[in-house]
Amino acid sequence: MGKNLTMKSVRAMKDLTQAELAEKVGVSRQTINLIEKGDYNPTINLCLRIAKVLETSLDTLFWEDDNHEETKLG
Amino acid sequence: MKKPNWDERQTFVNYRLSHHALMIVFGLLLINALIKSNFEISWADPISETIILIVIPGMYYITRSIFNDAYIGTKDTIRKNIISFLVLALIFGLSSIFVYDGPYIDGGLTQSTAPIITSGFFVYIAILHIIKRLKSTNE
Repeated sequence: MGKNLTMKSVRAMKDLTQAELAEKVGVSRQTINLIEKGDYNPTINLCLRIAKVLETSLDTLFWEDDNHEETKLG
Repeated sequence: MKKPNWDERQTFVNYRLSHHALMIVFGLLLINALIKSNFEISWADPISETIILIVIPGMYYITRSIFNDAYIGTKDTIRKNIISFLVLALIFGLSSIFVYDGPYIDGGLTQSTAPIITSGFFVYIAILHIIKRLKSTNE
């Protein structure tokens, strides 16, 4: 699993730090950090909570399309 | 509904580490039983023996849990934990003064080493928290 740069950029656009987002979502800062680094695969419940706090869709935050993967691999 | 103290990742990490710690307990109990039955060695008083058999897997669990950011829940603070463990270490350290009758008797650890070992265990946890805090500050 690659880095979740989308989530990082959406969080930055909302002017939230990892700690602030973690507080709103109800998880530890390290968990948010690991999700952004791609080192932890969150459950659908946590994905939904993050999407709600960041006021965006699950697709925007977590969907990796094939084209994107091919671009990265190519 | 009451908000859980650990998030889903921390809960999963703690479950995994608990399983490892349980396997270590089984292993230690087996080794201890083999040593005692085959070599007839009583290496410690039953209380100290129990404490050591608990402390070793406990050290494994707590060390890994702290460095996987899973020991401190979302509502706890490192500072509160450090103070709590140092207070516990102090209590056990002080209690050891009153019951101390030397470290060995007949080649085995005496009962009075139990509070010293327990105190050392709490100091170890407090030190781990301090190291973790310093590491987190530098991140």
